[in-house]
Formats: sequence, C-alpha cells, structure tokens
Amino acid sequence: MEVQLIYHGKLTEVLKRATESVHTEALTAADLASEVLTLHPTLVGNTFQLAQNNTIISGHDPIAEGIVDVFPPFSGG
Amino acid sequence: MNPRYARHISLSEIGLEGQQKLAEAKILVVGAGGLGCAVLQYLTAAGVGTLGIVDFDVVSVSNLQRQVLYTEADVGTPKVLCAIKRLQQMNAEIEFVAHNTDFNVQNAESLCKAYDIVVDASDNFVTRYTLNDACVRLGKPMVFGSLYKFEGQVAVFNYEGGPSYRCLFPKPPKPGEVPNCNDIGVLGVLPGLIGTLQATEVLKMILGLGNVLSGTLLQYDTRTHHQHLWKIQKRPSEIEIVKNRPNIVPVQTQDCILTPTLSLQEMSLEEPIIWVDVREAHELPKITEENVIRLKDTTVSERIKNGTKKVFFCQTGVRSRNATDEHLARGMANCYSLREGAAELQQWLAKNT
Repeated sequence: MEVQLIYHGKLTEVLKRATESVHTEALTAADLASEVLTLHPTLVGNTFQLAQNNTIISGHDPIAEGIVDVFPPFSGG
Repeated sequence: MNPRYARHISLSEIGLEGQQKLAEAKILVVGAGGLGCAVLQYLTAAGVGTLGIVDFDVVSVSNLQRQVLYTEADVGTPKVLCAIKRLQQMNAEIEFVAHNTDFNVQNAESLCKAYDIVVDASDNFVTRYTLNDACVRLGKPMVFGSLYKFEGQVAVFNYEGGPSYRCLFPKPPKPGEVPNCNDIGVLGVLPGLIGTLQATEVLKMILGLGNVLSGTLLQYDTRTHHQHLWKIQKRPSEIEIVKNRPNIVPVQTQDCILTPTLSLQEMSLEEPIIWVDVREAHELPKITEENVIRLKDTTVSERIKNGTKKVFFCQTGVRSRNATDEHLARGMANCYSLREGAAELQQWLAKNT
C-alpha cells in the first residue's frame, strides 16, 4: 500500500524534505515507524510520533492508505 | 457593573457570572519567556484574579525580539519582577504572586498546589516533565505550549481524567536532540500566537466555554498556516506510574542536568582559573580581575586554552550553564558553570585575593 509521509519540525531538516510517498508492507504504526527508520537511518535516535486521520497512532494501531504525519516534540517557549 | 470588563459581560456566554469566575480563578504560569509574556498579558487583561509567575532568569537583550512584556531598561533584572511591574500597570485589580525561582522536583507540587490551572510556558523538557508529573499527581489541568522555529504545539493535559504529556511522549528526548529557541532561533511572533492559544484554553476552562483542547494536540505552522488537530490516546500505565511514585522523579536525559557546575564554596584560587563572563557589556557588577575574560570579546577563543580550568559565570548561573554546554559540545575541556552569580563572585574575589 502507498502512504504519503508528511514530516514536521526538526525532522524536515534531518531528512531535507517535508514529504515523500513510500510503498509499505506495514500493517501497524510500530511497523511503519521501523520501516521509516530503515529507510532513513539519520532519523535513528530522534523522538517522533505518527498521526493518521486526526489521531496519534502507535504500537498495534492499524495503518491505512493515505497521509501519515510524522512529528517530533518541540522544546522552545 | 465594572465597565472594565463590559465587553466580556455583554457576551451572554460569559455575563457577570462568568466574569466573577475569572476574578476567583488562580492560574500559575511556569516560564515568563515568549509564551509566558503572551499568556500573562491576556489573562491580566481578562481579569483573572490571581496570577502566579515562576521564572529564575533575568531579562537579556536577545529576549526583547519576542518577550513583549520587557523593555530595554529591564535587561539584567529578574523576569518575574519586570513582568509583574508591567502587568500591574495594565490591571491593578489582579493579585500577582512572584516565584523568582527555578521550577524543580522539590518545589513543583507545593508551587502548583495553590492554583486551579497550570500553564506550561517553559522552554525545556526537564521542566515540562516535572510540571506534567506534578499536575498528574495533584489532579490539576496543564495547558501545554511549545515552539520550534516557525511551528508550535498546544494541548490541555490532565483535564477531567484526560491524557497527560507522557501519553503523547512517554520518554523525553535525548540530551541535545531537540534544540530550544535560545539555541536555534524562533520567529518572534510565534510565541505570541501559541501563548494566546494557551490563554484561550485557560479562559475556556474557567468559563466552561466550547470544547477544551483536552487530549488533542494542535500543531500550527506559521509558514503555511496549516493546522492539525491530532487526538492523543490515553496511556493509563504512564499516568499510574507517575501517581504511584513516592516523589516526582526528574527526567535524567537533559543537558542542563549534566552540566558540570561549581559553587564558590568548593573553589580556591590556588589553582589557575580563567573566569569567563558570559553577560552583556553593560551588566553590573563589572568583574575586572586580570584572569576574567568576556565571552563576547572576539579574542576569547585564543585565550581559552584547553588545559586550564574555565569557570563560566553570569548574573544567576543560567546563561553560564548554556555557555558551558556549548563549549563542552565544541570539544573544549575543563569547563564549569558557576552556580552563583556575578555579585557573589565579586564578593568572593574581594575576600580571597
């Protein structure tokens, strides 16, 4: 299945891109997160979460075709 | 009717009753930086009865680009005192409580206890996780806001049994992983936007208006005006762990905890020391010993040799900690941050030389 990953915050600078389309075999959020790390080893060690259909997803939460947002915590205040 | 709040009272959704709720509300704002300045001025104008402010830092010139409560004349003065002076001019009816201290695991719960709602306007993860844990343990709502360059995040945590910050990010990032505004810069208007959203959530909770941003992360990008609302799933185990600990446990992974610091009590002048003044040129007292160099001078890097012990100092020990971190990160050895400020150092040098 195809998903469009949209990166936020510092992740866009680490990857030097804001978005990309990837073909994935992942069925769950955890699987997709580990595929993203395999695809982009420079992301290893960065904290991030995934969101799809207006909900933050993790672990065994299922992935559907479409947009997945990838975002880190922000620190500034 | 107090004409000051006429435009609130005319709203049928607020009225006299709502304005009275605002007058009775007690709000704690942790951090009087960019977010804090925006939150504080709107809560003050709105007539929130009691406003506590926690910050340990002094105003520096580089704050003025976004921290709109402060003036050039405030540079070098504690933020909490400057903020209250300015806010009192805006609304003399408000009771302001100054907490001119850092927010830490020792004082977190006692500081939060006296307030109804706590606003996270901090700029680091140690404070944010400590604040989250205090709010979870005390059952207080926490209005979170944070920034990255052009983007901001806002959410309300611990509201009526809703998710906590640890449900969003269970583990804090590693040291240095996520830079803050002081390190990388921030669009000056961004904390104004995000802080105003935080103030909005505070007012909504006090007044029972609309849908509180509970368990929902709002992420906003000034460059595109794209805005996301992501539902945060509750992680009950994260909340239970925090509740069941005997004390709040500080997160260990932040740079500032690892910064080597020295107190004047543990120092002697028998070993050679280079004192590095990280303050702006006009800040007082001036320390003019011959082994004192100013970080802002261009020749510093030639004079700081790797072998000699270097002790960075500022007014309160905050900026010196950042400078120490920066120099250690650049590979310079033997760097320490002085826990005291310039005034104490001046006295100590006078006594020991």
